[in-house]
Amino acid sequence: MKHMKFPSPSSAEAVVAITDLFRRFGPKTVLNNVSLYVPRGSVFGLVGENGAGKTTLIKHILGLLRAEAGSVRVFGLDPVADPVGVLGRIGYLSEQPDLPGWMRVEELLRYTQAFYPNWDMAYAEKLREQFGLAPGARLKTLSKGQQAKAGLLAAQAHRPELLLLDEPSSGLDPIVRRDILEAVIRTVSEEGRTVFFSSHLLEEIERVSDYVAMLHQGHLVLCGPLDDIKAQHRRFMLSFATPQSKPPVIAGALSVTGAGREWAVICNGTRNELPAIVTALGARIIEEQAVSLNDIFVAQAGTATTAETTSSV
Amino acid sequence: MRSPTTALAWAIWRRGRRAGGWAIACLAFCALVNLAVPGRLRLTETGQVFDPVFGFLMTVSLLLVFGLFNYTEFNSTREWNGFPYRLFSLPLRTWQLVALPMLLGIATVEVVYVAWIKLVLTHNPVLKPEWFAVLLGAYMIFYHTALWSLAGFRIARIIVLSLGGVSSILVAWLPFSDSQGAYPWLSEKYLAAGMAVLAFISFLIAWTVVGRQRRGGGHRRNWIHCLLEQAGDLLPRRNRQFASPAAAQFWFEWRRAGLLLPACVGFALLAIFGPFSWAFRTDPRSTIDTLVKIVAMPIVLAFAIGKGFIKPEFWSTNLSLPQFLGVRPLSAEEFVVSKMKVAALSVTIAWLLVLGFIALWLPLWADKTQLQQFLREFRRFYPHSWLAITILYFAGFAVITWRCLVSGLWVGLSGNRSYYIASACLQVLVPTLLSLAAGLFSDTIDSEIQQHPDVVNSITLTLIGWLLALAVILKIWSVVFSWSKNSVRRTSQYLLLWSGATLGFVALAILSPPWPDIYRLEHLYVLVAFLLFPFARLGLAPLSFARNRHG
Repeated sequence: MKHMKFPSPSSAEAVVAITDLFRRFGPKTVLNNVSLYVPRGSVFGLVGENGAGKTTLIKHILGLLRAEAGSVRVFGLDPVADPVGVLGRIGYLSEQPDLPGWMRVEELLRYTQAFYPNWDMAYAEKLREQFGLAPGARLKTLSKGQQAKAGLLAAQAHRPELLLLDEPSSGLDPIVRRDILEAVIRTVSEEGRTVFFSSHLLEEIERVSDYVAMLHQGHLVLCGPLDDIKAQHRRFMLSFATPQSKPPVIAGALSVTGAGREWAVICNGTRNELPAIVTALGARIIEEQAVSLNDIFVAQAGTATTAETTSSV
Repeated sequence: MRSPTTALAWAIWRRGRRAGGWAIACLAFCALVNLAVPGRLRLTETGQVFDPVFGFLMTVSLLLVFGLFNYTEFNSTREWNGFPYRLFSLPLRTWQLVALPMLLGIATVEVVYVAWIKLVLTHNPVLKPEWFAVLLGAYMIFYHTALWSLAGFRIARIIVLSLGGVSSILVAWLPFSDSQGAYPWLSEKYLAAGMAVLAFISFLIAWTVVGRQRRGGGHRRNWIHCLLEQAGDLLPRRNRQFASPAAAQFWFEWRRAGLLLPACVGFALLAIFGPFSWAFRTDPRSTIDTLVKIVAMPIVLAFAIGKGFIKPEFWSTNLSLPQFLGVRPLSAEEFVVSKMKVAALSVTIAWLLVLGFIALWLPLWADKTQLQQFLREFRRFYPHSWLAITILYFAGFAVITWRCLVSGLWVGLSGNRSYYIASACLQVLVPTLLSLAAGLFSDTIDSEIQQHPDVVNSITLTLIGWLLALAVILKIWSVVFSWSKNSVRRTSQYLLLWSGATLGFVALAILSPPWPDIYRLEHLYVLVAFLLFPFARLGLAPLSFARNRHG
């Protein structure tokens, strides 16, 4: 598959700049020449199926993994060479917040506070009350949702320049998800800081993100402003004069689904050429629809898989 | 896999195949040696050298089989290492889940045992082999029962397994203790029947406990933990903010592992040495013995606790750095320094407890007759420096205790399990093999010393001198390499620390040469003094930590 590079803001504007990042675990390539840039002040959503490489990418940003090839710069610094300089400006919540169960909530706050000079105790208290966390409660006695809230509190109370959330809402109930997302949105809207978060819940990404990147089997298949991506992708409903036994072959189409006379085609930026192609096939466009991020993801992942299969054959 | 039991058996073998491979390798090696060495030679004095080696490797291989059947998994919800929780959802009855690993364990250990008897121990047959076969099978059941029943009690389980290991040796020798046949119940027939009954009861206990765990019972929060937590809640909590990230990290490390050494030392003093010294308070010979054991105890405990202390997380079997710590904006150096400081405080408290106990025990209830005689001699040999030597010795013991806690940090923090296991094995195996070799060749060594005392002493001392000098040079070279990667501030701080401690050891070596020093050992002691305080290895610890942190 061809490695995709996407237009990016200048490095001066980018909080995170990843260039040609390559990572392998044993024989498996987890990240294959990934390049992406996270603009300052944006909400950047990273989507991908399980095992696509989202967590690995985030670990590179945190400096918890060293790049085998390519480079990772956060605030213009190498997170492996200068972990203190980078991590001091990041707030991080992992998919499974491995908080020490023996700690109490108040101890977690005091412990975390020590590492961040900008820690805002009043804000932390406000969040703690908002999340309904008892200060004397031991972390091991909290539910999964409460632990995620405690993790988010610890990640956010020092008002980090970059808030990194790795699958923050996986396995959580909708109320906790809403709490987390609301907190994220508030953070960004109030203070213009940057949020980078990964999820496989595409509706969530679609609701809050300004920019979206899509990983599929270690490849970056899509990256850019969410509005542009949605504008570029359209679904066309085609009607054929005679029933089609096989999906029609349409150049540039990401996915073709349907049966008989009615077929739906999702295209990316080829909408101008499509009418001519469709006419040549003996069909006509009966409707043009906007598509959701979910549809785009499924179409892109399908295309990437097909491309992989074809190249391997 | 045609049946669930086959699948489970495969899973057990799959996860323990390395241990199984080593057990087979030990057996195969000894079987080949046994085949290669002619029978005549085996019956001579030289040939008997093989017996302890075979015995040692047989014990190792049987222990490896027990390790293979350590059928436990960590349960993060309950924070225990017990019966694999995921298996509870399988469509199998509890007794099947419990019996399968036990039966497989029994079958494997019996096969390995029989293989040793038939392939290796052919020239020196085991007495009462059936008795040992019954014992091994029963031990496998007791072992599983202890592992699963005490899942929530980490330290208690270690203690129970250790006591079980020691008592198992005593039980094994019971049939040999009554050679006159005065006590028929000590015959292997009765004892084997007794063991079988105990094993069956043990199986029933394991079945009940695992069944309770399967139904959601067996909470780790038992009454002892509840009491401890309630007691902990009564203690004043820290309400102040931390002055610095380093202070916060120190608190974190202290809370995880800092109190363990003082607690173990305190427990040993109160529960073992206190009653023991009281029981033998009228025996003058036991005073010096007990004193030596009390002084050695913190070092021995630190050696064992150090195996956990050098890991990123004391209580975890995973050597990878927890993400929670990995994302703290704190340098690798600071992480290592916080561990070293916690170790220092831990050792200081432990030794204060020891000194406090000695200060109470000696004047209040010890019989000091022999001790006073020894002290008089000591003062006579070192009339001007006896006090300095005593103080330096205790300071030296404290430093060595600290060394036992931290010297392996460079291995433990690396996150590499192979290095960690190899390092631990080396620390146990090398002294064991050296002792074994010394024991095997003690007669030869003694006769050589008696025949050519000056030659042997001269060669040995020269050799030791050169080896020590080489070790010192190697140490200095490694220091330059390892500390070159660290900050100048930390390097100079640690250099100061090392110089102070080493100066103390050198002073001790100069002040307390053996009296009379006919072999002029003083210079050897000085060389040893340069090696006692870890330097190069601690310089490598931040690098290991960084490697672990950055994958």
